[in-house]
Order: sequence, then structure tokens, then C-alpha cells
Amino acid sequence: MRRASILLCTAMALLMPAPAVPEERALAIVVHPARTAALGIEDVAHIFLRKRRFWDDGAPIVALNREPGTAARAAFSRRVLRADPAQLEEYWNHKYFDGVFPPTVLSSCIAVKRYVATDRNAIGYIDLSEVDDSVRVVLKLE
Amino acid sequence: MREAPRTVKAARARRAMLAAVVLLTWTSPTAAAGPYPPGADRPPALALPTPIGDVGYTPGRGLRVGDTRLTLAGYGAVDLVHEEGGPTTLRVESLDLFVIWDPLARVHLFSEIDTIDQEDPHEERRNFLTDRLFGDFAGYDWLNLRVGKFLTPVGRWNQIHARPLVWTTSRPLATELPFDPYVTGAMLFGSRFPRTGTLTYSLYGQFTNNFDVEPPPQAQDRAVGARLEYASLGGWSVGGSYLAFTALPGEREAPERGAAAAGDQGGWRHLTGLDTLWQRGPFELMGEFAFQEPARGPGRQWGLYLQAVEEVVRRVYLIQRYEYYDHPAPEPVVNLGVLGLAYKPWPFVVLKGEYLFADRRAEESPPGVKSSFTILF
Repeated sequence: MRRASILLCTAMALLMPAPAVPEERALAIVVHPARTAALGIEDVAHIFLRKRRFWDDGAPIVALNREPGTAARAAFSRRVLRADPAQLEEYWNHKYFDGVFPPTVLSSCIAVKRYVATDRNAIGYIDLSEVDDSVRVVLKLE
Repeated sequence: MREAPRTVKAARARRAMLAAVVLLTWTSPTAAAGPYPPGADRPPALALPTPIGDVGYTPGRGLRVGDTRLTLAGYGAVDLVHEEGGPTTLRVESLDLFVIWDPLARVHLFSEIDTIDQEDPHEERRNFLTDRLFGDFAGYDWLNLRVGKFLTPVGRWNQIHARPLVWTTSRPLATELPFDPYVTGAMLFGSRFPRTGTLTYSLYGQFTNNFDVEPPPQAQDRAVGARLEYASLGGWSVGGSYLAFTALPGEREAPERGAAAAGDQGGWRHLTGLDTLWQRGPFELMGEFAFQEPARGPGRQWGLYLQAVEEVVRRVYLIQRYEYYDHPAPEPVVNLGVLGLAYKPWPFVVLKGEYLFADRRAEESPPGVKSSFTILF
């Protein structure tokens, strides 16, 4: 009886479909086509934490975030900022004490792309599949 | 007679500061470059369309006043404290208001008004003190100028000392006794970015009279200092601070306040500090060390603390802290321990409870049970 139970459990385990692994979003960090600077993942992190605030030519950087709770923002935070939402809340609370706010939030990939395409100081992240000639990709997160 | 040359020097310093601000702002490349619209990391709880743009309130991120780039914000704390052998008190410990204005991409203006100042229930209550009032003028990432009254960049706790941002109701002695928490003067600061981290420096001085002075244990008259900090993207950082200062007249002969100046005739005192922070998953470890002594004569004091925090259940944190403080002689050494819990129902609200115990009573941090409700608004 005991052996039969073990066999049954083993068979069920083998027959059950593997749990779905959430697909990691492929993201592109994009800037205005006129921006030719090369950026590494650490540079992007410094920009979105508002530690680095100016381009090499001295122009102020306009970083664009996606809304909290979106898959794109979660993937970006985890892979670029290396922090979960709670850690980032604490980080921004500390910055708030000096009157420094997080990057501006836009509500969709399309909105981010359109903004970046029109402002040479902007930087944002969009789904890799949304990339076109209106923006330049500085980094791919695949 | 002593004041006259000081007044002339202060006037010269103010003129030099003004010239530096103008120079830095005008010579920066693309000084009038495009907007830097500030954002919020969570949606507004209230938004009202008005002729000057949407007026929106986000809890913990303040009230954004339309398109004016002005934000009104602040924080508050209510304490319920029972000192061992003493009374139980309930009081509003702080209610601070921020006015934040970013009129240009390179200009950041900030003020913090402390509407209720009463560190101790037996003290006289003072209202509407200016805790901070400064302007930041950004040239480059590596060169910024701050002018006004700002927090002394020594250690970590002092720079984030708002109650909703720290884990305990009590404050470590090493972050409070050996230096004045505020500087009225100017500071150059900036960052460089080695590949996986940020290297930040600050060089500052107080060369004018302290603005809206409170009586801290080490109210300073003139000061110069520097700080260097490396913060890794991996979640750890380390910093070193140096501060030289003279005591404010009137505070020099107050050894009972930890002034330690009896005998140094108002001369320079030197403070050296080290601090560190390490964060990984649900764990955080923070520590600071500060050593201060007069240039001559007795009065050396030093202290340290080490604090460990762990998220034991979602949004519930266990805090353990050890402190050591060696007061100026003849006051004794004190060892303190803190065991506490903090609950964060929302990112902008913290409820704290702790028990502070010590091998002998320190007036600045008496043993007992301390609890508080704190909020960023």
C-alpha cells in the first residue's frame, strides 16, 4: 500500500505540468537619437536613482519611470536598480527629506517613447518590441 | 571691538557666496536647459485641476502646487514615553513643514520649519524655528553649491534624523552630543561615479552667525568640515567625516551640556567620524563612531553605536542597538541597549516601540519604554 502511494505520487508529479516561470520582459533603455553617449547598466542606475543628474555636455537629465505595479517597472527595478519596491520606498523617503523626488512617471511605453523622441535630455525604458527609429537604444535588457 | 572685524569678514563672505552662486549658475553649460519635471513614485490620492495646473497630494510626497514647481510637505511625530522612575508623557514631539521649490533645472530651494520645538517635556516650548533654509545651485554632478542653514554632514543619522526615517524613537548619543547638527554657511558637494558606486564629497564652513540657533549640546560659532562617502549599488556604503569648530559664546562654560570646553577658552575642537551601512534582503546593519576633543586642555569625548534591523514579518521590523558613550570627565562612561519593534503599515507611516536600558542613567537618553507614531505627509 505504501509503495503504491509513493508510485502514485511520483507519477502525478511527473505528469503535472511544470509551474509557469514568469517570462522576463525584454526592455530597452532609450534616449533621443541626438544623444550619442554610451551608458552601462550602472550609469542607468545612477540616473534613475537621481544620483547622476547631468549629461556629459552639462544638460540636465530627464529620467522617465513607468507606473508602480507595472511589469516593466518591476523588471527595471530588479535588474537595473537591484532593489525591491520596499527598499526603493525607503531610499526615496530619505531623498524626500532633502526635497528630492523620484523620476517622473508616464503611463505607457508609447508615452515614454514619444517623450524621449521629442526631448533630447530624456531617458526612459520601454518594451524592446516597441523600439523604432524615433529613439536610440543605449542598453538592452533581454 | 571683537565684533567689528567679524562683521566685515561676514559681509565679505556673503558677497563672495553671492558671486559664486551667480558664477556657477551662469557658467554652467545649458543653464536654462529643458524642464526636470519631478514625479511621484505612487499615484496621487487627490488631484484637483486648477488654472495653474493640477494640484495633487500624494501621501508621503507632499502637495504639488500645479505647475509652479512648488511642493508643500513635512512630517510629524507623537511620542508616548515612560522613563524609569519618572512620569509617563504623551506629546507632539515634532511637526515640521517643508517648502520645496525647484524654479530652474539647476536651482533647488528648500526650507524646513519646526512648528513645535520641545526636545524635553520640561523645556519651554518654542514655535516656528527654522531648522533648515538653503538653496542648491548645481553646476555639474561633481560641483554643487549649497548656501544657507543645512544639516551638518557628519555620519548618517544626523542627515536623515526625521523621525519617520529612523528606526527608533531614541537617538544614539554619538549622533547628538559631539557636534552641532546644523551649519549656517556654505557647502561645495558633488559626486563621481566609479563603475559600481558613487563617491560623494562635501566641503563646508560656517563663517557667519548661526541662524535661528537652538541650544544643542555643541552649539557652534565657526566651523569647517569635510565628508567623503562611497556608496555601492550593491547595498553597502562607508563614510568618513571631519569637523573643526569653535563653541558659541555662552555654551563654552557649560560642561554639564557636554560642552567639554572648560579649559579650552573657546578654542577649536576637532571631530573625526566613521560610519557604515550594509543592506541585504531583510537585513540592515548601521554603525557610527565619533571622536571629539579640544585642541588643548581636557574634555575629550567619543562614542559609537551599532544597530541591526531585520524584517521579521512583512512590514514588521526588529531593531537591536548597542551604544557606548564616553562623556568628558568627570561624567561617567555609559553603555546603552535598545530593543525595539517598528511597524510600517504604509511606506510613509511608522509605529515604533522600544525598551532602552543602560548601565547608568544618561540624562540625554534616559532608560525606559518609548513609543511613537510618525508620519511623512
